[in-house]
Amino acid sequence: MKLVPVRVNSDFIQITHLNRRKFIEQTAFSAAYLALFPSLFSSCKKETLYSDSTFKGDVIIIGAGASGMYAAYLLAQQGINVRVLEASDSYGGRVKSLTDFADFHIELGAEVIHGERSLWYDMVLASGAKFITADSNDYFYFNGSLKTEEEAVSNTFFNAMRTMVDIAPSYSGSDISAASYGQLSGLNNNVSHLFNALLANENGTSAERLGMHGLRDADEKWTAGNKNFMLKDKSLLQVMEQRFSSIIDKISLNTEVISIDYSTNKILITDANDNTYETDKVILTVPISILKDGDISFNPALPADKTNAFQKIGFDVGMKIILKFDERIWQENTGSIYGQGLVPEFWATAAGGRSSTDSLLTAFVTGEKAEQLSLLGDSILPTVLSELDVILGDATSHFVSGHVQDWGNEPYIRGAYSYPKIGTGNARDIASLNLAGKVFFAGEAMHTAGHFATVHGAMETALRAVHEILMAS
Amino acid sequence: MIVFTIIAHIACAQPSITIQYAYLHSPTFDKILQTYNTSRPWLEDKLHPLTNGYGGKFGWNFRIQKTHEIHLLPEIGYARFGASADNNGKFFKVGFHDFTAQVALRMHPRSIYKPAQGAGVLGTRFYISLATGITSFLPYSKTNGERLKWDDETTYREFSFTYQFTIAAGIQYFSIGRFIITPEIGLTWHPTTELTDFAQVVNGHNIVGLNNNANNVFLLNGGLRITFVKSGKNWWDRPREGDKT
Repeated sequence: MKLVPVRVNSDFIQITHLNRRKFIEQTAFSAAYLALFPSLFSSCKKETLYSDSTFKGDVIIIGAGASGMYAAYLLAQQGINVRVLEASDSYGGRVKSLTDFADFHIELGAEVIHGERSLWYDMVLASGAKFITADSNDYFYFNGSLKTEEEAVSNTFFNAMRTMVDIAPSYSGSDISAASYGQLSGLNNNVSHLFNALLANENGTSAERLGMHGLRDADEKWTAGNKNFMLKDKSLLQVMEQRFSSIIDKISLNTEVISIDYSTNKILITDANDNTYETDKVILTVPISILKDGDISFNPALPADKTNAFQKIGFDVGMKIILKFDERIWQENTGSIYGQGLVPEFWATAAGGRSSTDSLLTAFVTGEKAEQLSLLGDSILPTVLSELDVILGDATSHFVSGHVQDWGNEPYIRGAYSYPKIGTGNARDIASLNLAGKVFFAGEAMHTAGHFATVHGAMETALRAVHEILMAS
Repeated sequence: MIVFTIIAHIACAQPSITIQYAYLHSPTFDKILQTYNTSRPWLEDKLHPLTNGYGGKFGWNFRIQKTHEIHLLPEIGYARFGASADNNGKFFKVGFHDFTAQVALRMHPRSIYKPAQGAGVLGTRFYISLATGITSFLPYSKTNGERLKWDDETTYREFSFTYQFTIAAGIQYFSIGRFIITPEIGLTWHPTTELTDFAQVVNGHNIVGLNNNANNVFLLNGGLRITFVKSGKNWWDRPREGDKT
């Protein structure tokens, strides 16, 4: 080894030329030393939140839907004592399935998993459930006949309507209804029912009630992805039961909460049977209809801006009508059939390999049309079948049985899912603000970033509530 | 003329490459991945907060002041910080690319007020450097090898730009032929940074107050610089005549 000293003023330094052996030795030593650093540094960082939280109190969750169950699951994971109070006689909320109607589970509430960038999608993946993968074709009934999309696009009015629907999320005018937007855009009457089906019914209401600003804002904020998924071999409720099995015994059914007193340090909750519950925090996950109707009294009373905000969030009734036929009377690989009467949309329930033996259609109606249909009582099925007779030919003679799920008639739900009305504006921001750090609001209607009306949106609001409780302490 | 001058200077400069490791300190960005894990307690494979970055730099060493051995190093650099998790058939990779263009001023601490002597083309053996430059961050997300596309069409590609300051120290440790090997450590400070839409990309939402903008992001760097000295008779082989060495 040759040492060459170099001086920088009084700094005497030795420089080394390395021979091959020494170089290999030093390189190997340095590499081993450096390789240690990343793992050392990595171990400095925690992979999850809440480990620093000092909150050790009790939490009561009101409502055992997707939001409530997920909140309970998250809190239980952190060792927090949770209890879920559910007014109805079953958990799941608007996630509900029909099990004895066909040879597969039929979703009576939430059915579509919207987007692949959500914790709900990841939860479904982890459940091992299979997705429907088959491609399908949609059909449109107008001008007296049922047309494929290829046939429909040759119609000028249909094309114009389709464009209106496609560009609606980029609407830049004043806050008007979707119906007014259609009118101003020159929507033809022959296809206005399709406009209503594609734009408003999907959003849980009618074109006359759907606000364009809210629609646009939600689209701008949407980040979950545009792909939709449906399950083939499991119900959504089964996925939830599988994941939340550890907290199901913490749910008290048939417990309708009527008042929340958060005036003192401890919160007092009273149910309809006059039972009281004491807790440190409350997460309220009830449907927005319960808050709009003032079914739960609060002490101190809710601020006026909050109750006003509840009223500004749209929430209409909705129905799913399951129709079973003795044979398939629609084209193979049918996705949706858009009709002209009270039912804006039917879809082939058993499509995508869900069943090879059962022939089923789901009629999906929300908003004004659902209100009208709901009033028909026992005539609902004959009415829907008569509409199908017009669209598909003789449906009634092939009809076997039907099941009507009227969400408006569910006493503790009273509707389908929230939607933006004209003037909804920032109502969800105000509605979802917690009360004095004690009462927290969750549920799909409380989603402030465009993911309302979805299961994953409901769960995300639960995460926010848990976050607010555990990160604040 | 200017081009000629630049070329002439580059011809006289010593090119160097640096292989570099960086530790990222940013609680704000950590929370984005911690939220992902916390919201999905069932995941066996967690997304570890972005911590370790690997990359390199390329630049030239110019001596701009002989008496005090002050050197200038324009450099371009790249580092990549990533995390991945493989759960239930979903191989999820997220992270960001860090592109840097900076100018470093290098000298011996004492040579600020005393002349340096006999230091050669690379300056003094031990040095500190002060650098400033611009940085561009490009966050990414891949699922099962496919880059994220907004609306299934537009690839997620959001550059953000910021500036940074670095203080570093190194020592010309040994040579292999004409290559001078220099271990170097440094601390980079980004007063402000942005990983555009990163919280939404990772979590699918952002209603829990996650922030894609972070202040005071620090990188602790460690690297090995390899400098090519054009002359076969480099400075520590043959100290200049008259040097008191």
